[in-house]
Parts: sequence; C-alpha cells; structure tokens
Amino acid sequence: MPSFLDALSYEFLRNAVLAGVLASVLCGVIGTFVVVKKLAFISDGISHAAFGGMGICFFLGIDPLLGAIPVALACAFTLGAVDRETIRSYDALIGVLWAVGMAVGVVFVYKTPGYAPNLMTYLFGNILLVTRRDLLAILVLAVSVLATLFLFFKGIVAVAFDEVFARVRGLQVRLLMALLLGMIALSVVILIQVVGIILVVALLTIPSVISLMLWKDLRSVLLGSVGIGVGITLGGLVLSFNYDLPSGPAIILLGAVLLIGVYGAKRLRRSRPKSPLPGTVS
Amino acid sequence: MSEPLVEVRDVTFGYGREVVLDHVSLTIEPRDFLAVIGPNGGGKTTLLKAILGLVHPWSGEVAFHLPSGSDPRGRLGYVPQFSTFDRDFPLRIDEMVLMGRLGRRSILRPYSREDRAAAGRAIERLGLGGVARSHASEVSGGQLQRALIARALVSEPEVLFLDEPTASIDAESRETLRELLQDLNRAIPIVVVTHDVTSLAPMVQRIACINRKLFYHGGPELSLEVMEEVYGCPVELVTHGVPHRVLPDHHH
Repeated sequence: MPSFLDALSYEFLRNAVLAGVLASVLCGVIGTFVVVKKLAFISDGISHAAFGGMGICFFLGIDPLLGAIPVALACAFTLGAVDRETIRSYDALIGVLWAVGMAVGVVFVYKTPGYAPNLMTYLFGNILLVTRRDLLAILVLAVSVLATLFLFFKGIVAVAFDEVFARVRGLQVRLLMALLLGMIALSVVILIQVVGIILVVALLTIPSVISLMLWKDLRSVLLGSVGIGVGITLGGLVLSFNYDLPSGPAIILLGAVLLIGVYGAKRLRRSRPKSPLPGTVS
Repeated sequence: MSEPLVEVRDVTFGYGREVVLDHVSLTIEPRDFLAVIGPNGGGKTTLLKAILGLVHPWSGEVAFHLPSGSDPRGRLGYVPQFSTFDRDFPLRIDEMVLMGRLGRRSILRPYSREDRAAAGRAIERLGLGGVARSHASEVSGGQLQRALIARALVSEPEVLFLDEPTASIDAESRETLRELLQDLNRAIPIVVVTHDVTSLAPMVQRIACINRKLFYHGGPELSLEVMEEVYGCPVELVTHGVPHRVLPDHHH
C-alpha cells in the first residue's frame, strides 16, 4: 500500500489537503467567534438550511455551491435582522429555518430525474471529491471572509465581547453582527464541501473549544485554533487514507479525541494540590 | 445654577405593554454626583439605558448640552454590571481597556499609538499595571470593576455612568472605588445607579428615586415618607435602614 505522502502525487488528494487546510484556517478564526458568542446553533441551522439551495441546484443541474451560498446568506441576514422581541422564540425560528431548508432540499433531490445523487455525500461530505474548480471557489470564499474579518476586526471583537458597550461607543452593532453572521454563513458553505452538512458545526467549534481551554488572549486563541484545525484535518485525512475511513467523520473523531484529552489533562492538573515550593506559579 | 449637561424631559418608556418609566424628568448638572435609587425592577437601569441611547423613549426626550455639543455619541462613559458581558471571553485587561477608544476613529482602522498610550495611562491611573496582561477571569472583582472604569475613562467621557458599581466587589475595593469616584468627580459629573446608596453616601450630592415614576429628585436629605412611597412599604424592612445613612447629619 502506498503511503499518504506517496499518494499526494494524485491530484484528488492534493486538492483534498489544500481544501482541508483552507477550511481549517477559516474554522479556527470564524469558529472562535461562533464559540465565544455562542452561535453554534445558528451555524448549525444555516448549514442545514443551505441544503435547500443545494437541492434546487441539483434539480436544475447546476453547481450546488451556487444554491448554498445565497440560501446560507439569506438565513444569516434573516436571523440578524429579525426582531427578537416580536419573534418570541429565536431558537424556534432557527429550528424552523433548519427543517424547511432540509425539507426543500430532500424534495428537490427526490424529484431530480434520472440518477439520484448520493445524499451521504452532502450530509457527511467527501473531501476527496473536491475538484480543482471547488478548490478555486473555496479559495475565493475563504480569502473574502478573512479579508472582511481583518478589515472589521476591531469592531467585530467589540460587538462579540460587549454589545451594549459597543452601542454606547456609537458602533453600528447590527451591521457588525450581520457581517459576522454573513461570514459564518460563507464559512459554513465551504465547510459543507469538506465535512458535510451534519459535521459542519463540529469542525467549526472543536478547534476553538480546545484552543480556548489552552490560551487566554484572543490572538493566541485564534492562532491556536487555526493550528489545531489544520492538525486534525490533515491527521483525519491520513487516518482516512490509512484505515479506509470516511474522511469527514475521521477528522471530527480525531478532533473529539483531542478535545477529550485536553479537557482531561486540564482537569487532572487543576485537581492536583498546588505545590508549596516557590517558582511553581502556574 | 449653570445649564444642566443632560436633561431628561418627560420620558415614558416600557417593554411590551408594561410601562417602566412613566413621565420621568430629571437633570444632570455639571460636577453632579447623582445617585439613582429605587427598588429592583423599578426602572433604574432602564432610565440609564434611555439616557445612553440604548432604548428609545415612547415619548419625551433626552437633551444634551455637553461641553462638546449636543451630540452625545461617544461622549458618555459607561461602566456596566458584570453580568452584561462574558467574563470568559479571551481578552486581556489591557485589550479590554483599549476598547474604550472605539468610535473615536473609523472602525476600519486599527487602534493608534495614541489609543494605546491613553489605555496605558488609564491602566496606571487605576492601579492595574500588575494585571494588565492578565485575563478577565483571573483578576478579582475589584480589579475587573476598575478595568471597566478604565475602559470608560479612556474615551474621555463628559459624563460617567455606573450601573451598580458596588454590587460585585469587596469592602476594600469599595473604599478604593469611593476615592476614585471622588477624584473623577472633580472634573466630570457622575451618575450611579444603585440599590446600595450607603457605600457611596458621603459623596452623593443629589438623589433620584425611581419606581416607575420619579418620586424625588434633589439633595440627599431624603425623608422617610418619600422612601416609603417609593418602596411601597416600611423602609426599614426593605432597605435595612439605608435612608438613615443617606442623611449626613440626621437627628432622630
């Protein structure tokens, strides 16, 4: 059996590695905001709703990405613009968008004449199927998301940390929140290609959750979660290659093992009695 | 007396159908030290939000006559309660203080050298030099409180508002806070929303009692009758004798 490195001479594997690295960079950065601002459920909702757009595109015989992007963005802006007091249950609204998107997607996929697409590919992703064109789309999306974040970084951090104070300082809080949700939506679309709809949230949150346990200041957390994201994506791909496992679940499971390990190590260190010796200040 | 800096004129506001502020009017004078007191749920914090522009009154208005003009945006310092933000957010104390400089220049431009210098000065002034690079979850309640005040001060506010500043800090920090506010009050008016007027009593120049309506607005020589009206029951039971200690020289 050829080793993973040997196999990198195949284009499909090189594409997968590049897509994985790009996606992880995005996850690390956007995912940190998802975790600290507690937007995981929203992200999950956007991811599932986007399936509606993908199903319609499949029916029409065009690139599913073309449907996923506008639907994900529309969901993000709906969730950003809706008045929370009028809607009463924001959670329920997310749940409804989620279910309606999935339902629309399944109906259109079912009605697609001829060859029925493999639903598993959408739900659990297959990074090994990423084409050169997908890769280009991922690159464009990733660069635009990161550029927007870089440009508005100061404001987005302020809104994520303390919305009320940001408003007192005269910031356009709603606009910045909409921008953040929009970036989450685009990231989600990219991640669907890598790990599929169902696993998007895991890839979006696991690296940041681990990073937040290890580091305290924002810059370290962001860099840390990018590094962890790249690590588990590449590691997952190697596992997938060596043991013939589906790539998305392999990435997520490796991340989950790392998360549990870091959590366990932190707990053990905390429960150990503090040493009275000088020079051991943690 | 000179013109008030802030005038709340006949403001009515509520949530849903419930009226929380009912035709409330009050003023904040230059060099004022105003304590807004009243029972929980009486509208103290809502009044603060109306002044800060965080909620828009159903009727009435808030007018500003600040030294810099009538536009209050970015001119009001605000020290929130601990509960309004996430203490686990990955941010160091110095980064948190720096946020007070937001809104002074375009959101697209990073913090300037001048911003960082101002944040550094505020950190020193509030004695936070030792914890500047610590995380918010690693410092004491008193230190976090001072960091929030530093954040409000770096914006060079023309009025400083504090929401329940004594609620989450120990007695020693309260003493430090008292001295700090007294010092700041030499330059700008301070408005404190609190249910615990005792710990700030010596400095309070005027009191506003809010329980949906404004029951009293004036000097700290507040009568028991007013307090009973505001709280709606005998004061001692509710406030543990607070009004007695509001009075600087009280004769029984």
